[in-house]
Amino acid sequence: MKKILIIALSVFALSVQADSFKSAIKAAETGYKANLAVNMAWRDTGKMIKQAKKLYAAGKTDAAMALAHKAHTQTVNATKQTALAKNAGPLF
Amino acid sequence: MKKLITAAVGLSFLVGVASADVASDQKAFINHFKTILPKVEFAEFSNGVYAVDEGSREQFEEILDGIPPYEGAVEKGGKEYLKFGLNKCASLADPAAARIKHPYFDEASQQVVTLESAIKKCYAKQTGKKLGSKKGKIARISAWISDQAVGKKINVIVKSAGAKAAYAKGKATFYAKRGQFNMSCADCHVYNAGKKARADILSPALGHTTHVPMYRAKWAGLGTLHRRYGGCYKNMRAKPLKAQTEAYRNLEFFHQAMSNGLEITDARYRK
Ligand code: HEC
Repeated sequence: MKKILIIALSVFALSVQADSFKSAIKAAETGYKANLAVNMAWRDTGKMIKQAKKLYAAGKTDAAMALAHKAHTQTVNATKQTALAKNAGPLF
Repeated sequence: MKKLITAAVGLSFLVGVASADVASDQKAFINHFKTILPKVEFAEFSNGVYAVDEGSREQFEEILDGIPPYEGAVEKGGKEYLKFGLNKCASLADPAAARIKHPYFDEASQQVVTLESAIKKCYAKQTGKKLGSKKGKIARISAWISDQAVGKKINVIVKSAGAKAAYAKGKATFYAKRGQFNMSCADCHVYNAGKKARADILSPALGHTTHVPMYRAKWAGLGTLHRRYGGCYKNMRAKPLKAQTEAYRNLEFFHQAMSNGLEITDARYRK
């Protein structure tokens, strides 16, 4: 019983991790796609997303999560720039 | 600092939505450079960074006095112009006129047509093949065509509503902050022109398009204006767009218009 519980718990933990990585990387990918569509993507976001997936596949979940979050933050900042970009003009 | 940024953003918003009038935009643009670089004559801006960097000016002149490293490539471009039948396209039949006419706003397609996009179109028509957009053949041919217009003045015309919309988009692209460094083209080439950024002195955007395609020692070859756009995007840690995409053509439309009245030159060398 105890063994089963432990197995069940660790399977549960793994699937939680998988879920949160999936949602983190999805957020990054969605943001990146939107940035690309308006020509405001940052240089390294795409590479970071790829690298995060590789890390995740290699079982380095913490590093993968951190990178996915970083990539997502880049897309959030690029979206903020996009809002200002439309009306950009000289300061003189 | 935060207040300053907010004020700056607010100000740029107000100015940015003002009308897309080339003449008044350019007047303010030129005035700015007169203010920050009072010793540089208007015509001198065609020399890029060498108009403001006395230290490297001598080297620049020596290179021009000798046989510039791109001379052979430009000659080859002239042969290629004939070899591929580019003289048979109406858009390029008179090369000097072609350099002056582009970029222009085409009413039929509602798009900015750059010299390189015209070369690509003609090349495809004559040979059935695709031509690149950044270096090699297209840069050689474009440089040779531009050589035929040396001494003539840049004269970008922005008249129709469509043209004004394209120009306004290009202008916004030029002044918008982008990429991880949150910088705009203007942050380097307008507000800080003549100042040092790491090992480089920043060239003024006024005159940026008089010598295109340019030769760069770093490239060890010629490159188109859009190749350079890509490089500066990367430096800003923004993802470069493809050369000759609509956004870069609009940017060029604005960028070249700001140099209206400056002479086209064959002094293509830059470090
Ligand atoms: C971080 C500063 C920086 C930013 C931002 C920047 N550039 Fe540059 N750019 C440079 C440097 C450095 C060079 C090489 C030295 C020079 O000519 O200024 C250069 C060169 C150029 C040249 C070639 C000039 C010549 O005489 O051949 C062009 C054209 C140019 N930049 C356009 C742009 C455009 C358009 C943007 C915005 C999309 C931009 N740059 C953004 C730093 C910057």
